[in-house]
Amino acid sequence: MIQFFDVIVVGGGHAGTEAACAAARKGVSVCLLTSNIRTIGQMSCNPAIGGLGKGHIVREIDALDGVMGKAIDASGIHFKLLNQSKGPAVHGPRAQADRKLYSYEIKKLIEGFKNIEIIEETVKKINFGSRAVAGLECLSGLSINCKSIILTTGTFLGGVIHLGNKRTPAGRINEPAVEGLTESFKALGLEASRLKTGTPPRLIKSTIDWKRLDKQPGDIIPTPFSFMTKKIVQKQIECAITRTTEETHKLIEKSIKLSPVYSGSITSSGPRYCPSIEDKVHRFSERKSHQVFLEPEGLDSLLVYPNGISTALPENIQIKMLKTIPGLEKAEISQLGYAIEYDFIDPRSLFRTLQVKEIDGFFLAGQINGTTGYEEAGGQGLIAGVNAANHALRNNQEFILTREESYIGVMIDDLVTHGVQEPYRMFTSRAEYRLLLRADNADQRLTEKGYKFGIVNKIRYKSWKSKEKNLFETNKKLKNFLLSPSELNKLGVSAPRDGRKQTAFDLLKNKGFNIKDLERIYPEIKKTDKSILKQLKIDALYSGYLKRQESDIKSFKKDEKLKIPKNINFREVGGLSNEAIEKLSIIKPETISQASRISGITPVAIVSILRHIKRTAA
Amino acid sequence: MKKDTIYASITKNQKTAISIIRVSGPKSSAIAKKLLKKKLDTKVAHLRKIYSINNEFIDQGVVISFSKPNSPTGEDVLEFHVHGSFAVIAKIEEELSKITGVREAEPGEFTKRSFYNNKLDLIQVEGLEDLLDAATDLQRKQANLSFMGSVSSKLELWRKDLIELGSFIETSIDFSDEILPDESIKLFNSQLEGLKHKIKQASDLAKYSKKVREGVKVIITGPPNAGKSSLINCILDENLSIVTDEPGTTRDIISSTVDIDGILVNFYDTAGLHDTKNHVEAEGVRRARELLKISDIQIRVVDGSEASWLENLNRIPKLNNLTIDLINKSDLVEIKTKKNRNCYNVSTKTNHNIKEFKLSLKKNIKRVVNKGFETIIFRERHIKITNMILECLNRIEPKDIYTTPELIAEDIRHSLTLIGKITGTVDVEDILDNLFKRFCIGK
Repeated sequence: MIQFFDVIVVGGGHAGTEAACAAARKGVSVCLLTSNIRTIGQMSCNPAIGGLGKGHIVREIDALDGVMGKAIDASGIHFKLLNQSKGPAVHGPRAQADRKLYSYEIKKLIEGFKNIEIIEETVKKINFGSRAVAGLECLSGLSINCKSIILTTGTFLGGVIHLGNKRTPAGRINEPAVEGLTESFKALGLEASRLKTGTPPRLIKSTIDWKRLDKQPGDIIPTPFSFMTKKIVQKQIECAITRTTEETHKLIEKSIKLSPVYSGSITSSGPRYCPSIEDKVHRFSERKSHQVFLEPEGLDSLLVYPNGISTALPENIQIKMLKTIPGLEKAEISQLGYAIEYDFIDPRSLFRTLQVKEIDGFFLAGQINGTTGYEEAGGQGLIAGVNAANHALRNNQEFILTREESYIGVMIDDLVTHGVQEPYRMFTSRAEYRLLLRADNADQRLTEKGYKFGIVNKIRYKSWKSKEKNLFETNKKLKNFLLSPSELNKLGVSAPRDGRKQTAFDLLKNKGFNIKDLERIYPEIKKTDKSILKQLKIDALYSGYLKRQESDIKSFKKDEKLKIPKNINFREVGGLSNEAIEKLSIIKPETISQASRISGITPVAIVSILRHIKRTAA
Repeated sequence: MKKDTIYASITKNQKTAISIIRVSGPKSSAIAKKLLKKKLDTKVAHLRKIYSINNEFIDQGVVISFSKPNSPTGEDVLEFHVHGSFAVIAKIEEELSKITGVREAEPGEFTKRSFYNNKLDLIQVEGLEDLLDAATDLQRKQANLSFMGSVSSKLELWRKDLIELGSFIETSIDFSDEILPDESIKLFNSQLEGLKHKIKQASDLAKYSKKVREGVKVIITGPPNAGKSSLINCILDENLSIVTDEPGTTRDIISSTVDIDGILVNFYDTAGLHDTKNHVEAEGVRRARELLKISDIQIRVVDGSEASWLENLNRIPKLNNLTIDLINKSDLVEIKTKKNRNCYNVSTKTNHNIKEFKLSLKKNIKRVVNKGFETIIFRERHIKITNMILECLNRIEPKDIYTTPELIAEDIRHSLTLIGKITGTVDVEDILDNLFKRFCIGK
């Protein structure tokens, strides 16, 4: 039996669900292919969304009308805005979810699309025509033809779970891996490697001694992720904090040889930033203890996720380890912690649309590209989804986000330009324009573009347009409201020494001058929505620095426009070192700007490429 | 499109005993075959007969070939060291131009290609320019610092410091649940202050080294007929006068430029700094006042045989403590001066006390440049950018690590970008265009 869809999304994880919904929003027919319907939208590890850098991506996904933000707002049970005491550019919204509810919300959102059909099957083989996707075959014998395929198989490609010295092929605990596909990709010339990641044991809530532990409440007023959510209405819970002890560390050091990485069982690299507890103890031996956050997995869940003790040590060690941690002496394990090793494809083989360069209609998104994190996966899924739909529609459109407009752009540019040595995770420090790419202004940066590309629905667009108008008019009001130094003094505000008049906007630039002060000197402004004022306060605060970046961004944009022809032969450029020629030929940068970011490519080389392009174009 | 092969006669077209014609580009070996008829080993000087394409003998000279990338420009290079007659050079260049793909080089094109082939970074190129312009030994030494890459390597140290400071801040941002220990913050502060100090020092010293590049400015002031011109002749007598052909607003008041012990010194002869009703003289006086402001050393000269010499002397505004007073015409009237080392009774006619004066002058000149020698930065462009870096770093307040670390991170990032502007890792096109324009053909 053969079926046909415009776009097939393989995998129902965070990348897959965003991809399916994005493609559906463009109006094409979508098949979401998953080995197990029940695991759609499942959080494999930490039941939390957001954080520093990651939270920014969620906002961007939402600004483009994606599903992650809406799902976490409906299922989040512990919200915390990280770095609240620091500047707005580095605020990271984060929330822990009721795991079951999150998955339920995602499924509900998918069901809202009439043009997404969910098929429960495992993919066996992908059919490629002459350098283009034709369809795929499932284990059951079902064949599906399509115009585009998005592969979002997460950790399932060649997945192997390590627990102590036990090795089990699996994509996730209790779920079979997908075998055979990686070999077929290698046959097409794609480079594959292996990475590892890990997860902590799950504990039974009632066996933890909560009374002894410090509590960590969430924010009193939770900050929603989605721009469309007015208020969080879900019930909120508290978390608790504990720490590892010297005893814990002694135990781990003694048993380190039993851990798969240190026994040599796993040679692939894991994330430096989310190391297992054995990594942490081994590498940071001067630290006497590490924090552990105890996060309940749901409102009525029996389980707790101990954030900070990811491990693959054998079962008996895991049990012993808990006894050394305050509050967990009597804790029982419901699911052991483990490490998982999996295949990923070198993302340098992708265009910024996430299509594989050599194969039309074939897209890769998520952990398969070497990233780690639900948010990173979701961001890629959305991009791949839009472009897969574009390909199916043959509309010659490319939905590409750049570094100066989004963290998603930073991520994709990093992946396709530098490749991956360890699982890629987003940090705010990866963004050159961090002051510009804030969590609070994702809609200002992206919603308009999303609407132009047909993935933002009318309701959201209308809401955005009215906010935009409000921002614009309030901005004007603030900039036209002038006060002389003497007037300022009368109001008890310090005036600048140069005796010039100050606008309300100028005053907002000062850190110490906040909205209450604004309302005092400009009472009329009280009529304006506080959220608008808060937004403008942030803009004012950074305006000096942003102005300085303007010229950088202008030249960046100029360089972005300088496209490198797809058929360029770098050997003909002249003046390039052999190393440079090799790198450029492999990565095939699409713009001068991207070329300049490849390590080892000097500005001299850039000038040479530029001149070559100009000369050959003439 | 293949790159052109360029040629030019490196030594300026003056009549010299030996002239060098350099060829750079893919056709170099073909040219060697066509004009030399015999094969060449690379990097070895050969004595060869040079022929025209039609086998007509032109000259015999030393020929050296280089294979890319191990050549001055990074391309295949061929050098002809021939007799410096105009006829020989012209004939060789004519033959070269007949070959397709070979043409005369544009100004600075050889250096441009060296830069393109990563043989020189921007600072080295600028250093090379300075080296070529170096007329004095000190200038040569200073230019060499640039050209030999020691400037670039010092900047690299600044860059490393900045990157370390930056990583600390980035950690405090992206790993917010790790609380920063007090010692780390103290360390950050002391590292920041250390770097600022290093950079400020370089900036302060820079203005001294500017003088090395541009020349110490000595202004000679005094009423007419005090003997200023004879004084200049006395100074010139011993030292090499350097002729420059660069026009400029102050340059046309320069009497002479002189190399004194390896230091470039510009002497300005001025109209007297008297108030005057005469319009033309007034203009001269105005210019003299301007000059006074930017001069490093002032020599005041008065005619000692005039009764009012002391009055005349005091009427000349003093520049600073680097002022040497000369009471001239001691052959007519001897004036007893205090044992003040900066005041001499001299005679430009008989050279009385001129030796002592010259010693004092030299001492003062050396005082002006001495600080400026071992500096890192000395071009206007570099100084400007360095001050911008200091501005960024001075804006950082350590207490802000807790409240606005992202702004500190911004200032550090911007500083790194600015360093890149000195070495040419940013804004290359503009710098390139400006720079290569100033080179002459054959360089």
